[in-house]
Amino acid sequence: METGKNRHIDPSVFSKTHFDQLSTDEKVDIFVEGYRVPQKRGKAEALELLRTKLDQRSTEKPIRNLRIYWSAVASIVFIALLTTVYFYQSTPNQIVANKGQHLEYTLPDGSNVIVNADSKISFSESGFAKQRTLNLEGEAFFSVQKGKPFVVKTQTGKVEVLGTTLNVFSRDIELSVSCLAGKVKVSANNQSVILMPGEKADLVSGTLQKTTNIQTDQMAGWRSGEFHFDNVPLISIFEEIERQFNVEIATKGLENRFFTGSFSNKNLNEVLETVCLPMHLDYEIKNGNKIKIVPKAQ
Amino acid sequence: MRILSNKNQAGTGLDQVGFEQLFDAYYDELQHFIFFKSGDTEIAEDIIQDAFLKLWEMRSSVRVETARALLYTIASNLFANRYKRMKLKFKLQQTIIEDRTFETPEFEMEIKEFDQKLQRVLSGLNENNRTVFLMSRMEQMTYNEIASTLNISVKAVEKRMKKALEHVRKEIEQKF
Repeated sequence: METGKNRHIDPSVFSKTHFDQLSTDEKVDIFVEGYRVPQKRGKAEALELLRTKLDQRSTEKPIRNLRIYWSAVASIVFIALLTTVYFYQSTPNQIVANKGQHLEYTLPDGSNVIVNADSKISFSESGFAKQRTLNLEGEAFFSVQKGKPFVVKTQTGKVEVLGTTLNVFSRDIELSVSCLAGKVKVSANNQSVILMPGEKADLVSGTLQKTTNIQTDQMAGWRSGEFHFDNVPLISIFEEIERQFNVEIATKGLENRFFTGSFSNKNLNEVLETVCLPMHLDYEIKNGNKIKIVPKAQ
Repeated sequence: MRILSNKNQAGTGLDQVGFEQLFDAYYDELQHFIFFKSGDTEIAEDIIQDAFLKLWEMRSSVRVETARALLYTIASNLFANRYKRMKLKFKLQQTIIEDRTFETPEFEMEIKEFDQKLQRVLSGLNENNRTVFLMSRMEQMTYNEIASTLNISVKAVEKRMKKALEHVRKEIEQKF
């Protein structure tokens, strides 16, 4: 970029006789070529500012209280598959939170989404502008801006929203939607239910079941690193621990056992204690990330 | 100035050095790009700050070869989200009149009025047409370069150029 450098301009242009003879296009060309984009800060100053901002960020609290600390790389896999559709761009976007990672993201319409560990959101930029539709694999919390219908598609069902906050959990055949504010419509297997704040819908063996009177602060506690479980299969609990701490947990014979309780994702040992102790289980950690759950020695 | 390929950085992920290299290589053109859309230096500079912050957040998955396209995408999205229906007034810096003596004060006046009128007309241009027009005429980018930067077809660039030129010509030739 030749900023600040004067391009060569024939000085005779600026005699009136010559200027008057020029066509409009020629005049415009000369003037436009002479334009420079003004800068308030220079590049060096802008870089300094950026460095300051980055420093502030790294001293701020790490993203959620995951144990990934400062070394955690907030990796948003942003695949810009560049496809030209007529005269505007269509960019399929993906937000991928790896294991042990939570990501916060603002969607093009201003809606906010927090993506839980081992989860993925995808949408197309142009499609999203026309119709707010995105795909979710895993779990995410949405604060939706009022406006056109907002649709979350999952493997098992569809969630329609009108300006609200909600949590969607969709892994394998499981689907669980909690409504914290506003109104949500959940559809799966040709059934649909409408959720009001404090209500939750679960897909249980192919049937949508509604639970009411849930404390909204327990609904998506994972955002602040708090996990609440109410009579949830123990295997699902260990799966959640795997995702939050990026570990592998081997279990055996835990089918048909359920857990009710809470834990936070700050300390792996603490969490394992919290779950194992009441369930009469022991755990062994090998190589830092492989965990074996065994029945408590008598 | 455009392609920054550094053999050490093949593959995915950016370190601080690579990140600042990208900043150095693309800051100006990105700032111009958002300026063409917004006509406002401060908005342009803020957007580019945020665009680079976003790039830093996703640095682990950024590839140097696609970083420029990614930055353009991030910047134009940030701009579109924040300043959708903004009324803008261009204030470009005209270098050809600076430090120049004119034959008569009347002629100087005429030139300055032409300049002001042109800036007004540019403000009134459709955002996309203006961006293409100024990339071509101010940045001296070829249609191919513009097309790949904006991720549109060369045909679309030609079309936007044509519209911009027609609009500017029509408006300028209209008497005050």
